[in-house]
Parts: sequence; C-alpha cells; structure tokens
Amino acid sequence: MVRPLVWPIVWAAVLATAWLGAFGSTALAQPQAEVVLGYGGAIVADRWNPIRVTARNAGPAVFEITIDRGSLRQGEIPYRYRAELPGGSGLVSFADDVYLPAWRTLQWRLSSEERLLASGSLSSRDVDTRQLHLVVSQRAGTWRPLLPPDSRVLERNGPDLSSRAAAYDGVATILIDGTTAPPRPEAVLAAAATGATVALVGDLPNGYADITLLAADQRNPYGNGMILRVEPGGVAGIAGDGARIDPVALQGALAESSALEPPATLGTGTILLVGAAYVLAVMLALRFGRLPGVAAALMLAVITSVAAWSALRPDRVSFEATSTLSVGAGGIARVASVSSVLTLPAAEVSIESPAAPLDVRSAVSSPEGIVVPLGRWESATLVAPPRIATQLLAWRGAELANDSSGTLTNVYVVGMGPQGSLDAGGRLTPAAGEESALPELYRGLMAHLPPGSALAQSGGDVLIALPPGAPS
Amino acid sequence: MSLAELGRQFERRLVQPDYTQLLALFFGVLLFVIATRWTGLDASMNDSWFGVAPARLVGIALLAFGYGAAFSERPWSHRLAAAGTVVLAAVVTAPLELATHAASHPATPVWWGLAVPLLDGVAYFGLGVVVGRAAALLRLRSILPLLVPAVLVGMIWLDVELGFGLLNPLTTATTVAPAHLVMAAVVAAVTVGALVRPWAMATEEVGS
Repeated sequence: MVRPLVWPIVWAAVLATAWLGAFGSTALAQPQAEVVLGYGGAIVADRWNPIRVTARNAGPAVFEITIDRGSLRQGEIPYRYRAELPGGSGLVSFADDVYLPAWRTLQWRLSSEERLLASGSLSSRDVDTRQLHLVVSQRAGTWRPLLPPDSRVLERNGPDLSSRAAAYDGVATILIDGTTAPPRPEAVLAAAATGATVALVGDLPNGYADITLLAADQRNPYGNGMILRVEPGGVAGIAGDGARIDPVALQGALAESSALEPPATLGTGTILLVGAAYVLAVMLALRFGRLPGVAAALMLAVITSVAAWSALRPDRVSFEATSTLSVGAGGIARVASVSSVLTLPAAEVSIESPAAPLDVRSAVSSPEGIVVPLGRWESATLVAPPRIATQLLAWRGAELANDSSGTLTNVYVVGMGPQGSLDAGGRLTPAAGEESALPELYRGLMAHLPPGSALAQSGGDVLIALPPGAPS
Repeated sequence: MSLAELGRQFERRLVQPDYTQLLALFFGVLLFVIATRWTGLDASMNDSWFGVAPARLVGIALLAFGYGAAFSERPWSHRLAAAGTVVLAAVVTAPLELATHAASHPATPVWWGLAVPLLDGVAYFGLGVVVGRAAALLRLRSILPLLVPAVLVGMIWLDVELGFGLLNPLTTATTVAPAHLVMAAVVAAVTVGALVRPWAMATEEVGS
C-alpha cells in the first residue's frame, strides 16, 4: 500500500510526463539553421552558385539574399533572391542555384515569423570571379600543388556533388581519385556537360564502376566539358583544359543578337504632315465656319483623337523573346536560355521560370521566377540557369545527324561553310562550300567556336555540335 | 441676353485676329515640339508627350491668364465669350497631346492630360480676371502684357520654392497631382459661377 505522502509526488510526476509529452518537444526544441552559399562558402561571382539552407524546428521561414550592384555614382541597385521554406518540425532542407553577380555588398538572412534564424554579409573585397577546382579526395594535399598556384581549390566529398547542372557554372575542374565515397554518375555527367573538366585519376575502385563507364576513352567530350582519364602524373595538365568553349561569351553573343527592338512608329515627317493638315482644317473651320464651324472643329478633334490613338497605340505594349543555345557533344548538351523583354510603358515584367538579369539592374528573383521593374521603352536581357538535355544535332563519324523532331535550317560547319537544311532524323556529310550570307546570330557565335563545330537553327533556337575530337 | 445673342458674341470673338493668331501660334509651337521630340533625345524612344504636355498646359495657362486679365473690365458677355474661346483652344489642341501620349507610353494616365488643361484653362481665366481687376485698381493696366507672364512665372517660382506642386504647369502637366486637381477644380467652379451669374441674373430680369 502506498503511503498518503507519496500520492502528490506520483501525481506530479504523471502530470509532468503528460506535459512533456504534449508540449515538451516544442518547448524544448530550439530552432537551428545552417546556410551555405556556394561551395562551402566559396562563391564564384557572376556565375550561378549552389545554395543550401538547412533548418530544424524552425517553422515556415524565408531565405533572402540582397545584393547591392550599384556604385557610388549610380547609388544602390538592389538585386534580391527570395525563397520560402516549408514549415514543420524536424529537419527542412532547401537547395537551389542562384546567380550571384559581383556585388558591392551581399547580405543574406533566414528568418521565421518569430525570429531571425541566421544571417551574414559579404563586402566587395570578397568578390572573386575565379572558377573553382574541386578535389574529390581524402588526399587533397597531394593534388593541390599540381594545380595552378593562384587557383581556388576546394576539397569535397563525392556524395556531396549536386546533380543540378547550374551548380557547376562556376566550376572549372573536378578531380576524382577514388579515395572518398563515389559521387553519383549523374552528378559527374552534369558537371562535365555544364563545362567542367572532370578528371578521373588512376585506377578507380570498384565502387566507381558507373563513373568509369562514362570515360571509355582518354578524353570523353560531354556537352561543353569532358571527362578525362589521367594518370597521377598527368594531373598538372588538366587545369588548362577547362571548358572547351567559353559559355559566357556564347551567352553574350546570343543575348546581343536576340535583343528586342522597339516597334516602328510613324515617322516625324508623317506625323507633322497629318498634324499640319489637322491644324489647317481646324483653323479654317473656326475662322470661317461660325458656330457650325465650331461644331465641325470639335467633331474633327474627336475623330482625330480616336484615329491617332488607334494608329499610334500598338495592341501589344510588352514584348518577350526567348532563344536557347544548345552546345552538345557525347549525346548530351548544355542548354542556355536567354530571354529579352521590352516594355513600352513602365512596368514590372515577370517571367515564371528562374532567371537573372545579364546587365546591372534591380530585380527580385525566386525559385519560381523573376520580377524586373523596367522603365518606359526599356528592355532587359535575362539568362536562365544552364541545364542539360539530349543532344539533337550531333556528329556521327563524318556525318551530321539531326536527332530532333523538326527540320534544322541554316546548317553551317565552321571551316566548311553552309550546308543547307537537315530534315528530322536525317544525316548529311558536310562538304566544303562557298560562303554565303550567314544569319546574324552565327557571326557572333563563330568567333568562339573551334573549327569543325556545326551550327543549325530550329526556330529561334541554335544548336551547336562540337567536333568529336577535343581541341587542345 | 438670349443664348443666341451669346452665341453671336462667341462667333465675333472667334474671328478676332488676336484669337486666330494666338491659336495659330499655339498650334505652331506644339507642332515644333513634336518635330523636335518625336524620335526622342537619344532616338531610341518617343519622348514627344513629355514636351507637348507641358507646352500645351503652359500655352493654355498663358492664353487663359491673358484673356482673363484683358477682359476683366469688359461686359460679362464678352468675358464669357473669351472664356469659351480658351476652353475651345484646350479642346482642339487635345488631339496633339493624345497622339503623343499614345506614342510615348508615359506612366501618367491619359485622362490627366484631358481633364487638367480644361480645368486649368477656366481656373487661370478666373485668376486672370482677378489680376486684371487688381491692375485696374492700381492703374497698372498698361503693363498687363508684362504683368501676365510675370505673375505666371512668379507662381511657378513660388511653387518650386515651396515645393507645393500646385501651380507649376511644367510639372503638373506630366505628373498626377491630386492637390493641383482639387485646387484647379475649386477655382474653375468659382470662375464658372462668377461668369454665369450675371447671365442668369439678366435672364431672370427679362423673365420677370
């Protein structure tokens, strides 16, 4: 039998247990958050960078990056990235790729409704546009001296490599020596296709079988990059390989050619002629028409107003054009999209897909899209994060193959000249031909392409097949 | 005085050389502004409305102010006819502003460019009458041609100095300013009341 003095203690224990069970997990759990910009904090300015936000017991939260792109002369030009994180107890992880232009100041914060969970800032001294060299190794110290002395070398674990193509926009090389857990093959392929040179050093362990399958030869071009097989002694040479062509230069050429022009309006002479005729008619009506002349002048004013409005006000006041550039090799292509937007009245233009402005201007971006405030008659060029897709124009030996479902036009091979059109599923053997008028777009692109590159157009999109042999 | 007599008075005012010449000059100035601004200063955009709208509002203000001052001592029917010609000038110049608005795509709504010159025309006419009467009281009517633009410039200067955005036609033409609209509407209503009241009284007298 329990003594009476013990009962209050028992009841107190029961109540305390019940309270802890009901509310304890919430009351005792402190929100925790971690934000990683770039690769372990290493950001490549003017490139797409991976970000990772991890929050525990934080509830719904908002992650914001605010970049001031202005200068002392221009004042503040804010560029914001904003992402809403889902709530809930436990661990919430969010990853995305964000275009981080060179900044005057960069501030980031993660906040829930109740509190600030994490924040940080970077100054202009932290801006670094040099691309990264990732070493997937436990013996990074062995390889570091073999890479260029001024390069940014980072040690990574294999499974940490992302499968998102845009995460490798700022990566020049990835060196894999098989001493860590293997990365996913799709991550390696995404890195190579985006433009990185992936070097597999020496004989890799059996766990890397899927990755070594991607490197059947010494040099294996994929998209805009390649996967190399090198011996430990050859590591010193890989840093120079880099992307086969400069994707930023190609993107610039594409943006330049796809810039929108304002719609043509009536010439000055025409508007003056019409205006003078109207003035003459009104003056005559008022001078000689007496009161009926006044009525006629008023009618003429109304008719002229309606006619002028409908003639000079276009049906569309905002314009958007998107071009994609696909650079392919090895059956896979790096696809870059450039959108040009133009608005006649001042407006906030929004695009419902991730993008970043190419020039220095205010914008608010998010994982869902971007909003760009534009002044009247102003245009902006927006670039989407690079992605990978199936290669549609490809070299098959000495033949060019069209693997798309539509006809490719303006086929051109650098060094051989125009080749006409290529039907869906068709092939052609390029032959040296006479130079003819090139599409305007090709002129800007060709300066950056190696001999043997094939170009073709599918609507407003441009497909490039890099030559099978990688130029050194 | 009947409506028909008032109409005849209006007709006589319309064909006066001063009105015809001033209206022609006004049109000429607007066409000149269109010619110089149609393709924009950097030829990449159409900026014409930003030149035409202030020029039109300043022109209407000068015309209204001048006629108000000049007709302040004349019979009420003459004043009413003169005010009518100012409103007519505002209406017949509207298509030029509408055309440039359509081509320039400014953020200012199109109704602003239609409503404000009409209201300002009547309001400035009323202010002109007041200035004309004051000049007559001070025996300064001989300097009215100088006084009219001087008072208008003084109002613009005062507006800029105080930062009101109430009286300056150069800025109120292109920017929606509710305070200016209210002020112009009130002054225009008082002016219309003052202009129409003698006619209403005369009509009542004839009726009784």
